Amino acid sequence: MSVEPDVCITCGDVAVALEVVSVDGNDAMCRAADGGTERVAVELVAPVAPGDRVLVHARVALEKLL
Amino acid sequence: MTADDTETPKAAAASTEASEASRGMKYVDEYRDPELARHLSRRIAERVDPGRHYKVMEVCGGHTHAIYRYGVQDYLPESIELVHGPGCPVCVIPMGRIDDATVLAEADPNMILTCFGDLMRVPGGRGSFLDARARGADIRVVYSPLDALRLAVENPDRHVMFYAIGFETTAPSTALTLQRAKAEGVTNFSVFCNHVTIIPAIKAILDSPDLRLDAFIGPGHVSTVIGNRPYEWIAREEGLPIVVAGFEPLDLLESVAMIIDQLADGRSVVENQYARVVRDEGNPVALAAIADTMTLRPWFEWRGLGSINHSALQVSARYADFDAELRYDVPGVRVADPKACQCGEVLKGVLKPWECKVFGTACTPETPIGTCMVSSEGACAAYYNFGKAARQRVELKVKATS
Repeated sequence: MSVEPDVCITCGDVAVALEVVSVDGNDAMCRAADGGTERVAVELVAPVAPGDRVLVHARVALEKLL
Repeated sequence: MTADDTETPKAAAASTEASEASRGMKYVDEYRDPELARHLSRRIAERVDPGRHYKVMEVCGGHTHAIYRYGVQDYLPESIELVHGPGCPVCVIPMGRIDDATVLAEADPNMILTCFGDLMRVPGGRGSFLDARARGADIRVVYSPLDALRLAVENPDRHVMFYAIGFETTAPSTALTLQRAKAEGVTNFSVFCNHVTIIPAIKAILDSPDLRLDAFIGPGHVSTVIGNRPYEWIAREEGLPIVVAGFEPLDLLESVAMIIDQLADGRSVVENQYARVVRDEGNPVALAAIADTMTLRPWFEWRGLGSINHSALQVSARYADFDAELRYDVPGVRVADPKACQCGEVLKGVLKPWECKVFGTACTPETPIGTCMVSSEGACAAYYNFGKAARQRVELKVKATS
């Protein structure tokens, strides 16, 4: 996943919307707008399914997007 | 996309959802539309009281960054002043807490100290983590505390300490990591906890005699976790509007418009501009994970704001085996800020970044003296990178007010 290089992770403005591609237990492979994928912990927003959009910060999904 | 008198970013988002989703740009392009920005700018200008000066504080460092990056202030009337608050965790970390971790990492050659990238350049009394790494300490950047935990699993003969920092946006990732570490029986992992909480910081700002505020722009991603209700006292007891906002330029402009509407109508309530992400109740599962793994500290030292009661988190007794402050003899270093540094006044919104004596001269992002110049979300770094010496205000035709 690409993150704009001049932002700071600690505050959370790099929380980004990703799309769930597949779910594997407490983790999910998620895809960003640029096509990159990353493994994300999803137990804080469970259950999720492929196609759901989640807000991800520090490789942890914080919320499902409406 | 064209703007009309009734269109808002939310309406625009709905109208373009199908096409944007197919391009994967939902929630981005429609929140940066120049026509909508001008529309919101006109709406704000039409509702301001010509004889009034408005001070609106954005609490979150992410908002500060976005305001400078996109020139949001240029779309506002001169009478609306955006005041930058203390919501950058890197900026409020006292130098002594950097030194504490440096001491531990340098004393134990078996330790791998892990932290987010922004922390590497924060100056402590003994230099930064970058300096300590140059002296031989094993300090590594991670993108997530989960990466630090994986590093521990991959290096069973080393101890991995994660320097946890951040507001309630970041605390869930630390909480989740602690829960996984315990469930997996990892024994060579600990957390040096510096998580802080936003509400006591807002209270401290409101208690400051130096500053009079008219309203707050509430932190969007913190609110994803804690929800909107913890802010209700600001509206009820302080009589100040607060609008929880997203991070795109139109999010911020719409939030200011909502604030000006409240002030013009004589209202003070909590409103949620970022409803596409933030629920009123926040994320109860994330809050439960934080409550399981962390407890409130009696007090915590904030750079610029001093000691604030119940304003930070420590690892809970249930996770004592993972608490670096129990595992190690933390020295508890206290370091006074450099005399030339005025980060404290900047963090409280009393000084603008360019009003600091060393801004842009002795203190730059390459050689920061104060933390506000270190983090990209610090007000000084944001202004240094994106600010303009002379602002170029957007010219608008505004209806005469009655």
